[in-house]
Amino acid sequence: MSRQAMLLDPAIRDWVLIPIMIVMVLVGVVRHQVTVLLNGTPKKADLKSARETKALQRCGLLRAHGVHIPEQAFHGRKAFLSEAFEKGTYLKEPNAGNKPRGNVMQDPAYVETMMDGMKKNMMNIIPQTVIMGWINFFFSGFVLVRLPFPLTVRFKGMLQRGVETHDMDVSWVSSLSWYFLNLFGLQSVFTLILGSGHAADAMRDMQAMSTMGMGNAAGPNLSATGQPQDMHKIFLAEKENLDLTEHEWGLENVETRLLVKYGKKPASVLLDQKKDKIARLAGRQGSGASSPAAVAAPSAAAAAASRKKGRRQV
Amino acid sequence: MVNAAKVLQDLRASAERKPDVVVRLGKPLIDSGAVLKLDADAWLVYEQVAIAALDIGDDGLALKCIQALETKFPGSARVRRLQGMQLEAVGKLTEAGQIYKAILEEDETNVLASKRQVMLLRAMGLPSEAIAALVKYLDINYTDFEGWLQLADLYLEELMYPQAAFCMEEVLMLQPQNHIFHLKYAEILYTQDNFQLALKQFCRVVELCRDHVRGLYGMKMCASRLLKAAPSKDATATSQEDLEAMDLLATERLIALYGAPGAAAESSKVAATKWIETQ
Amino acid sequence: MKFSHKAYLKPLAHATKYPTGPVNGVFLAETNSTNLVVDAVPLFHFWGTLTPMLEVAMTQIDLHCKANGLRIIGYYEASERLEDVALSLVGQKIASQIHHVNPEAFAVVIKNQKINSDDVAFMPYQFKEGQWRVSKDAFSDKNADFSFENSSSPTVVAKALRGGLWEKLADFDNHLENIKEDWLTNKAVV
Repeated sequence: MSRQAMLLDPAIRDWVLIPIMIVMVLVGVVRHQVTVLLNGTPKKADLKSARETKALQRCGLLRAHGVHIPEQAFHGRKAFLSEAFEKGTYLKEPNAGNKPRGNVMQDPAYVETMMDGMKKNMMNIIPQTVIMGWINFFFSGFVLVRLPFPLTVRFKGMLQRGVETHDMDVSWVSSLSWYFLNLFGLQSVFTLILGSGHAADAMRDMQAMSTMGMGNAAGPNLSATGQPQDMHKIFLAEKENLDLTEHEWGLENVETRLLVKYGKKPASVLLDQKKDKIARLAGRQGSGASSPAAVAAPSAAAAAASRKKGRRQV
Repeated sequence: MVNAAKVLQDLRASAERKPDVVVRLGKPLIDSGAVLKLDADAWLVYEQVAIAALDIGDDGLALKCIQALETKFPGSARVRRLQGMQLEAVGKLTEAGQIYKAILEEDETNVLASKRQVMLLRAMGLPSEAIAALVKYLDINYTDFEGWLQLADLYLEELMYPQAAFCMEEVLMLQPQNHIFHLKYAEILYTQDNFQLALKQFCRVVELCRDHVRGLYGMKMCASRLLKAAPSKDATATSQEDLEAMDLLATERLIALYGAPGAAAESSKVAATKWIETQ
Repeated sequence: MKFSHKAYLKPLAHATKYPTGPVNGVFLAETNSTNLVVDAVPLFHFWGTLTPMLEVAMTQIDLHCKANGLRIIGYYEASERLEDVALSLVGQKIASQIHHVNPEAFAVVIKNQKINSDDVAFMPYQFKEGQWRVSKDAFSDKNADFSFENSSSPTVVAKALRGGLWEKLADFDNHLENIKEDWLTNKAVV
């Protein structure tokens, strides 16, 4: 298809194209200032809820890095954390466990975070909705610019939103598409005017729209549904995890490792020790037939064996 | 000037503490007023230079920075902490303590103020108060291994070895690859007469850091002590054969290290060789 | 007790080198002389409260003494706190051990505030009536227990320390990190 001979009135440039851009820049700047105002005082973190979440981390760390401390030290900590979790020592309200949970809307901290999130979302959504409405109302169906390079038909949806013509060349841009191009393209302009970390971020708008009304993730512990979680239950689950953790000390054979390192013993000694240990463990499990681990072990061994066989066949 | 600002920013990002460099670069920036051209970063530079100036004892510069920050952010906890540090630097410990206390009353989660308060109590020679404050702090910020180290030192000063060992265990879980921490733990265990565990920890030191003299000495001492004692019946204990091997290895390495020509002064070489013989 | 120049210089250099940590060490005297403190051996600056390296150091000093006709006669320490001149718990323990072997033994705490001045920076302690007590008016005419072999020592030492002599001092902690460091005699300092 040859170039269509279509000319744009210069008035469109002066009264539509440039105004849209200027309005969007100004709105971005104003919004940044308002957001700064609204965010005035950052919320103070609560000591007790910090303690609550950190206790969980502590347990995770013990499970992951317990290998570095001697057995006795590990068991001491395990017993301590187990008991603390069961009793709820680290809970925000240690005695709240038995009370029936009241309406979440009565919890001021929860309501505050909800409101905070709402406010922020509103700040993001309202200006964009208004501008889009304005463009749709006054300039719907306008063609504003022609891009100086050809594009494939696929870009039609992106560049000619609101203008439903099949035959027009793709390099023509409609008013609504111009709005979207600006929305994302003004990023660096804002960075220039407002400095990095500004609040006029279009990406955040998009996020805000998709998570509308979900509340903000910061603040008290909220699950994905926005409900405060029952920390005591989480603690009990973590306690179970901890109870299942067996201690294995990284320094059990350090003497041999050292001797190997200095070349006093061949490296194969380490392998032999590992085999011995596995044999010992298997022996222990074999004697206690009632333990669930004993049931699991043979099947695991069988699986390992079959895997080995498989490799040999390949 | 731009370069200086960039270097300062890098230092801030890496949390390196090079007070001499910071003051050398930052002082002209602040004196000439060029720092204000950095916009939002200017205040970070002020804070950075203030702390560095306190470190190297340039009270005038520190005061200048803190005053600039005070006019910009009146009543900010972060600025007040700097004022507290400045008071500490000039020896007004009680006033500094009051500032930290006030910050913590407003916001009990303020990590910087809690840490300063502990250091202050320690500097004032009130170890039990410092221990109490630090324990409270670590109950929440327990991933702060420097805090655990501090607590271990405080307990050691009070000769409370089991507690110090506990703190070192926490440090080891947080920083398992640092041989210095293993060494300290080993020496605490040895002090508690737990030679069996101490030997393993000393071995770990030498494993992490080949031919570590202190670790070798420790190994030698533990091994010879355990060899002199009755063989342990504990199954997890190091076997007699391994003990002898450890003893031999430590002796061999120490002799080799001291024996190298020009490795040590004559007096220390003679003493060390004799020491090895007597063990 | 008369302190020789070396015995005054080394502890102060040690405390100057590590102002942020506690430091300690021991004094040596000749076996046959009763009251002349001839030398000092700096021990630790990392952590002075743990025994294994202390045992190593003390045994090695003992061996060094035997070879050179010396004996351990006293203990010194300096706190990391500027005003602190109390003998620490560990200090009391070590000093008591030395006292056990050698009844004339004494302990010294370094007055951090006096290190850079011409005043005497030693605060001697003596074991009396079952505990360590400060020896009052030491280094003056009123107290004959402690004095200098050479009365100009404080002035000379302060001047030498201002000149940066302390950088060359090595203690046992230094020696364990790099066995080249000459901790027993510190020939580079004297």
